[in-house]
This record gives sequence, structure tokens and C-alpha cells, in this order.
Amino acid sequence: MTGRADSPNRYHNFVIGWEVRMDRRKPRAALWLLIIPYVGLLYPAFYNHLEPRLWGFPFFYWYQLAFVPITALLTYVAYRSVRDDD
Amino acid sequence: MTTDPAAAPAVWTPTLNYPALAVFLFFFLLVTLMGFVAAHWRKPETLAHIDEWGLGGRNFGTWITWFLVGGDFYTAYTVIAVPALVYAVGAYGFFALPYTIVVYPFVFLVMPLLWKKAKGMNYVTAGDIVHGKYGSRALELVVAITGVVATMPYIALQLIGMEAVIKALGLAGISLGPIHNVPLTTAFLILAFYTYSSGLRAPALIAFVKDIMIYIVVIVAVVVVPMKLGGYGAVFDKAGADFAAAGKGGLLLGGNQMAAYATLAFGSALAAFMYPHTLTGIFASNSANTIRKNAVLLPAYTLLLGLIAMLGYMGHAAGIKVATNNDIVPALFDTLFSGWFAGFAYAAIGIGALVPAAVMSIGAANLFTRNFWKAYVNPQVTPAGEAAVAKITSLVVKVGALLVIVYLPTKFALDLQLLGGIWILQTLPALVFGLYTSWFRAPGLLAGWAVGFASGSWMAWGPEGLKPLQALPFGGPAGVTVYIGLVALALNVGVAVAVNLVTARRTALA
Repeated sequence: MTGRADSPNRYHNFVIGWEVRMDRRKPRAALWLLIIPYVGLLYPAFYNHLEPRLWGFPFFYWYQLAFVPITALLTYVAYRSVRDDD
Repeated sequence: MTTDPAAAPAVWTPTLNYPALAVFLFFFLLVTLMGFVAAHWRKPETLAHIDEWGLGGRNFGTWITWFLVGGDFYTAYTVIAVPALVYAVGAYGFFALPYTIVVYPFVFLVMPLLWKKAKGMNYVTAGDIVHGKYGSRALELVVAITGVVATMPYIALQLIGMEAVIKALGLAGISLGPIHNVPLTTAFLILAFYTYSSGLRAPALIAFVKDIMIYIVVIVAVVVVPMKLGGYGAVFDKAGADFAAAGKGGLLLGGNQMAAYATLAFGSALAAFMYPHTLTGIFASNSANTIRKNAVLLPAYTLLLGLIAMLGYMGHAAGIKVATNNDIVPALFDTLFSGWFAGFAYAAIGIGALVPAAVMSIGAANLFTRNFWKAYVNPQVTPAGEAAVAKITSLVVKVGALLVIVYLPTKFALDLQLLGGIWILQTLPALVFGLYTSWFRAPGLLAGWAVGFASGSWMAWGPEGLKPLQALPFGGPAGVTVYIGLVALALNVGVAVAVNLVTARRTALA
């Protein structure tokens, strides 16, 4: 058995981690955008309809397909806010 | 409904199709060549190192990662099975679409952190990360075993995808003594040999060909097929009429399907990147930013998948009847396209089986090597020794999957795959929670895993075979039907928290 890799002082780690998070809070606001696809897609009653149709596609289908570029765009915005963060 | 038997559409039966076969063989030979040449692609000083054989040198940039993870995550089985499910039941089969959308914000937030751990400490597998974080050989072992066991049936499913196109080429019945299905066996042995010699570089290089072919096939299909069938409106109308006539399935979800649809999508998304093959793609990339960029770019494949799912409805619109639902995609191409384009489509699907199968066997081999061989058999093993063990293991894993498909009923692989999805989800707390908090410790996570694994398997065990869904006795008069993997995960986390609280208190008292 080897020991834990992390510092034994977990309280210390927690405080440091929390301070770091507070410092970065502003640019990370964009990460909250990533909740939108979950809200939009994981409550099917909201989009389980045939009308309105678009190019022959019932609403159920084009609504979900539309979330593909929307999610990519939101993720791109989030990416812009953290990409220098390595 | 007609009573005239002559007017009823016949069930599609494949015949030997020479133009299709010629095109198929051409592309198969091309990727075989590429598979062996890949050992020299982005050539390292030596391939005899687990980082080189098993992770391609951790050096893949944005585009290689995009092709590799795309080729690895959207498998041949997806191309066959998703339209088959949509053909059979309609809207419910589309859960793959929200699943492969909501997976990317998760990948964006979690996978760069996991990559950093792996890169910084030279970890190769999920088991390595868990051992490094919690120092527990037991937790490492259960994470590794879960990964291998969940991956084996996944490889077998790729063989089912390949079998479907071999059948469409009219080659299914060829046996040689005790070896059933000679074409499938041959294809898989070739794959096993070039994976052995080139490692992750082989599927990474082949993924370029496979993905471009699939994009071409699908874009042509979604433009040309509706033109032949009277447009998308007509396709949906015909499919809707067929479901109404059959009294089963539909263009919309039934009231009791909605919770199932959402929980299957969410649970599958959480599980997707816990698998060894997807994690291998993540660990092989060259930076955290490469992974973030891919979370932005990979949804292009999801759009493709949504359109592939539509092929199930096109099958209805084209009036195709099939003996088994998995024939719907080959039958559609065989019926609506010339032989050579059908052959191109079959080749795309067949090669689409090779890429994930190769990465899966590499991922499983890495787990065995790092978290079993190095942990228990030979702790002093060198990186070159690790590569040697992993190469042999990848062969064993692939031959095992082949034996399962050739000699056991298909249902066995499908059932095991369903359980595998539930099981792999139970490794999420051990693998991911530690990235954000140091509160959890090994005993709690181990107990949580055990409860999640056991309860998930128990719930899946139905009277008529295995099932992915479980009715819960709340949330409405008839209860609510949800994905078992998520229920088991909730129990897993609950137990982990409870055990952690109890053991923490004991430690504090002592």
C-alpha cells in the first residue's frame, strides 16, 4: 500500500482551492452557459410535439438537431474564457 | 393494407453483388496497408514503450484527436443499430441524439483535468489515476476490471456491425471446417495483427479514411434518398403511418417514454467517457486545450449521427421490409443505390468497425498491463516490457471477442453490453470526484462501487431477459420509468457518502 498522493492537510488544500476559484470567478462565468443544453434537452415534454414543422421535419427532430450547433457555440464561448488556463 | 400478396413488399435478401464487393475489397486492402504503415507514421524513437504503442506518444493534436475520438466513439454498430432502433420504434431511438450532445459539455469540463493528471504523472489508464489519487490497490483493481469487462462486449458489437455488411455483400454463409463466417474472421485477424504491430497509430491513421468515407456516405444519403422518396415531409409521414398501422412506436415519445428517454441520454453521456477506448483517445492528445477544442468540434459527428438515425425512417418511406432490424441500413443502400456506391457505404461501415475495435482492445490491454500485470505480476516491469505485455493482451482481447460472436448467440453480446454500460457508469465517482474534492476516500468509493454494480445488475435482471429501464414507485400515479445506470449511480454516491462519513468519524475519534 502506498500513501495518499495528495497533501495530508485536506483543510489547507480546500482553502487554497477555494481562493483560487474565487480569483477566477469572473472569466468562469461563461462556464454556466454549458447548463443550457442539459436544460433544453433533458426535459422531453418541452419538445415532444409535431408542430411547428421545418422543411418537413417535425418539431421534435429539428429542435434536437438545432441543439447540436447551439451546444458547439456555447462550448466555444466557454473555451474562449478558459483556453489560456493551462 | 393490401391483401394481394404480389403487392406486398418482399423481405430484403442480400445477393452476391460484384461491384459492391470490388469497392469494398479495395478500401479494405487500403486500410490494411495503412494499418501496417502506421508504425512509421510520426515515427517515435521506439515503439517498444507503453506511451508510444498504447497512447501514440501522447502527441495527437486537434485534428488527429478529432478523427480518432470521432471514429472511436461513433462506431459501426451505431451506424447499424441506431437506424435499426428508429426503424423499429421511432422517436425513442433518437435518444442517441441528446446523449451525444450533452456529452460534450461534460467532456469540456472534466476531461482536460483528467488529462492533466495523466500527463503529469505518466498515467495511462483510469486505474492509474484512481491508484494515484487514493493509494488503494483494491479500488484500482475494480476500476480496471470494470473497464475490461465493459469493453469486451463493445468490441463484439463492432463485429456485429461488420457482420451486417458482410451479409449485405452476400458473403455471410462461408464456413471452413470449424471456422464459421470466414470473411469476418479474416478481417478481424488482419486488424489484430496491425494493431499488434502499430498500436494506437493504426486506428488513428485509419480513422481519417473511415470518417471521411462515413461523412460522404451520410451526406449523399440524406440528400439523395429524400429526393427519391418525395422529401423529408413524405419520409416522416410514411414512417408515421407505418407506426400507426402497426400500433407500435411513433414519431413522438409516448407519455411513459419521456423519463426513460431523458435518463438514458444523460446516463449514457456520463458513462461514455468512462470507457477505456474513449479515455485512451483523451490521454493520447497533446494538451488540455486540444481536448477543449475537440469538445467544440466533435458535435459535427453528432449532427451526422442525427442524420444517420433518419435512415430508419427512410427505410419505411422506401417500403423496405427486413428479416432483422439490423439489416435496414444495408438494405436501404442496396435498394436505392448502384452497386459501387452501396459497396462504398458497406466499406465505410466495415472500416468503421475496425477503428473502435482497435482502440477498445488497446484500452483494455493498457488496463490489464498497468493495473494487473504491473500491480501484481511484475512491479519492476520496464515501459518496453509493458508495451510487450499490452501487445499480446490486445490480441487475446480481440480473439476473445471474435469467439464470442462466432460461437455464442448475438443476444449474449448485446446483454453484456447493456450491463457493461451500467457497470462502467459506477466507476465515475472514483475517477471524477477526486478531480474536484479530496473529501472522498477509498473505502467509501469502494463500497459505493460495489452497491452500484450489484444493484444495477439486479435491477437489469428482468423476467424476460435483461432490460435497461426500471419503473420507480414515485413521480406520478403509474410511477416513472428511468435508466437503471443512473439509479445505480445514485445509490453508489449515496453509499460512498455514508461510508465516508462513518469512517471519517471513526478516524477522528481514534
